[in-house]
Parts: sequence; structure tokens; C-alpha cells
Amino acid sequence: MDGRLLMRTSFALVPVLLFLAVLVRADSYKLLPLRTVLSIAAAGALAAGASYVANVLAFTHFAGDFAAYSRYVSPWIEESLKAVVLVFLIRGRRVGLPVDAGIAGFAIGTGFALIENIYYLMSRPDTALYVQVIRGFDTAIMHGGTATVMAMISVTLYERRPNAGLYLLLPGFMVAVALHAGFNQLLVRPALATFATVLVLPLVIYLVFKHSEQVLRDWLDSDLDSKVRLLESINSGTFLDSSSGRMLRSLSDRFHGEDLADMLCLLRLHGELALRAKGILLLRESGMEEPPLDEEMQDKLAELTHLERAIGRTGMLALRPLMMATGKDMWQLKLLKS
Amino acid sequence: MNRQVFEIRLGTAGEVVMVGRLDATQCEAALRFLNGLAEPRVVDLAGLEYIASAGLRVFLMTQKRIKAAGAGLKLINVAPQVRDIFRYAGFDRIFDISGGGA
Repeated sequence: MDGRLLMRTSFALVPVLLFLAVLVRADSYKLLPLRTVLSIAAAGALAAGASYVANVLAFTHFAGDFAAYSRYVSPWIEESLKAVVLVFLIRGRRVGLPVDAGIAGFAIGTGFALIENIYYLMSRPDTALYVQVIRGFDTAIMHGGTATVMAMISVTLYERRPNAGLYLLLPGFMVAVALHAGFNQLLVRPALATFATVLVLPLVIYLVFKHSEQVLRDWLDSDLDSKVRLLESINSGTFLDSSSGRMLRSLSDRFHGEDLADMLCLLRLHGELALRAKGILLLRESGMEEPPLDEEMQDKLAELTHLERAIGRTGMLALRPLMMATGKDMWQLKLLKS
Repeated sequence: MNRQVFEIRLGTAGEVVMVGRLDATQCEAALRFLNGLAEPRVVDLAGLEYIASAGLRVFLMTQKRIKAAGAGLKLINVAPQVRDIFRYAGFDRIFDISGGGA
């Protein structure tokens, strides 16, 4: 890359990288370390490479002109490839909250835009600097914005149904495609496109991001207290008389006594681990250093895996209402395993 | 005395005494009281019946503040149900905690 190209690429991308840094910095819970954010951006760059190949192939079979192609076809291809990265992150429970999904989404878009801008700059070296800078910045914000919106919508939906299929990605995907196609539509009116992408989108993303952080804090408070009550009732022997305990006992016609005992152990263990995970989040929120995971916790994680195997898939499904196994509940244990 | 109402005050030996339930509605007052002390060291929790996550934040923020000066909070006479909450959250490795009678 020559010096001129490097300078133009920097002009176009530095503000976007700054916005990504603002999001990472604004994340009080330090959900995604910088190394992970950079890896996700690299995956976004790979998606852009794949998108280039797919677009070249698709365009050769497209009957219309390039403007029509960029409005009606390329958004589907490009958002699909960004969604592939997102699927990997969501299904692997690497992100589980709108906050970290938002950061991850913007990182995917940033990586994607980096490659697209380099291609654009190399293929049109004679375009005026200000046009390239504005175009590059708009594109980067657009790619970051659409991936962020797709990620936050998808994670919110998976939060309610953590084991649902890939179809739950569709609403977020459709919104992302619509925004992307709308942006490409506006390219004929660059001033409006710039206003929409540079001023409106980052502000909306930031406000949604801060709202999601408040939602996370509220969940942290309410779930910590409910898990404490659950553990108190199990430890004091009153759990089986509670409504949750009666629900567990009602499973006795379908499961053996030892299975029910395992289920009770699992509920207790899951509660303890969930509280430890929340302790980690509280420490991060307070800006305090986390002590390394002790041996007892590692043993408990191993025991959790053992119990899940012993109870089996059917038993785990039966237990799900008792464990309040939302996406956040399942995601938080990753904090202990990472 | 109504044990449900949260109360925070200084004890006879200069220790901080907390009584009642430290939940989200009380944490601001508790933090204000602790921030008003130059370096709170010992907190007597014999009368603390319950602590919510907001209460844990109060202890974490105070610990962070005084740790900068090389000190640390010592929580004494902690009732088993409150001690369990600290233990479950992993905060028994952050604070010096001793149970009733210590």
C-alpha cells in the first residue's frame, strides 16, 4: 500500500475506529476484550473478501446496471456474509447480550468496511480526496451500523428463546438489508446519505447501547436477588414446598428418584455459578481487578457438565422453566469458562 | 427496633455498624455515609439481615476507594445468610470477612 492510499484509507476509517473504541470503552462490564474485538473485525474483513467474490459472480448473471445491482442484490449478499460471522458468535455464546452484540456487530462492519474501502480507493485512484474520504466514512458507518442493528435485534430475540433455530436471525437480517439498500438508494443524494449515516446512525447506536447497559444492570440486580432466594430455599430445605419445588416434584412420574436428585443438585450448582458470574460483572462494573478462578469453581464447572450429561437432554428440557434458562443465563457461565 | 429498616452509623470503637436490609433503596445513603469517612476499615454486619446486589456495589466501591490508599475493608460479625451471598459472588476473596463472634 503506497503512502497516498494509506493516508486516504486512514482518513476514511479513523473516525469509525474511534467510534468502535468509544463503544468498547463505554462497556462498563468489559464484556469483549480488545483482542476479541480485533478478531471479530478480522472476521468482518474476511466476510468482505468473500463478498467481493460473491458479488463479482452474481453481477455477471445480473441483467440490470450496477446502480440497480447495488440497490437490490449486493445488500443481500453482503449482509448474509456479515450474518455468518454473527451466527458463529451467537450460536457459540460468544456474545449473549445486546451490549456485547452491539460492539461485535460494529466490529464486523468495521472490518468489512476496511476491505471495501481499500478496494474502492485502489480501483478509483483519481477520485478527489474529499469524495473518497466522505464515501469511505459513510460506507464504514453504514456497514458498522447495519451489522450492529442485526446483532442487537438477533441477540434480543435469542435471549427469549436461546435454543431456537437460525430463523430468529431473519428479522435483524431483514432490517439490516433494508437499511443497507436504503443507504445505497441514497447514494444519488450524497448529502442526505452523509447526514443519515454520519449523524443519525451513530447517535441511535450509542443511545440503544447505553439503554442496553441499563437493562443489563437491572437484570444483574433482579437475577442476583432471585438466585440468592433460590439457594436460600434449597439450603434451608424449603425449596420442595415452593412453587418451583412442586414443579420439580411433579416430574417424578417421568424421571427416576436419582434423576430428580441430580436435577436438584444442578439447580443449586447453576445458581451458585450464576451468582459467581454476576460477582465478576459487579467487579468489572466497579473497575476492580478480578481474582483468578479458584479450584473450587473449576470443580463446580466440571460437576455442572457431569450433571448435565447425567440428566440428559430430556431432563434438561424439563428443567428449563425452573432454571429460567434465558440467553443471558446461559451466556453468563461463559464468563467463568473464559 | 424495627429490623427491616436499614440503619448505618458509627459504633463505639469507630467501626461502621449496619443494621437491617441493604437493598437498592438504601444503597445511596449507605455509600454517602461511607464516602463521608476518610478511611472506613471495619464494618460490623451483625445486624445486617439481607444484602442485595446494590448493597454489594456499595462495598465494592468503598473497597476500591480505600484500596487506593493501601487499606481494605474488614467485615465482622457477618450473619451466615449474608456471608453466603458474599461467598457465592466470590467476594470472600475480595474482602476480609469474619462470622459472628469474631
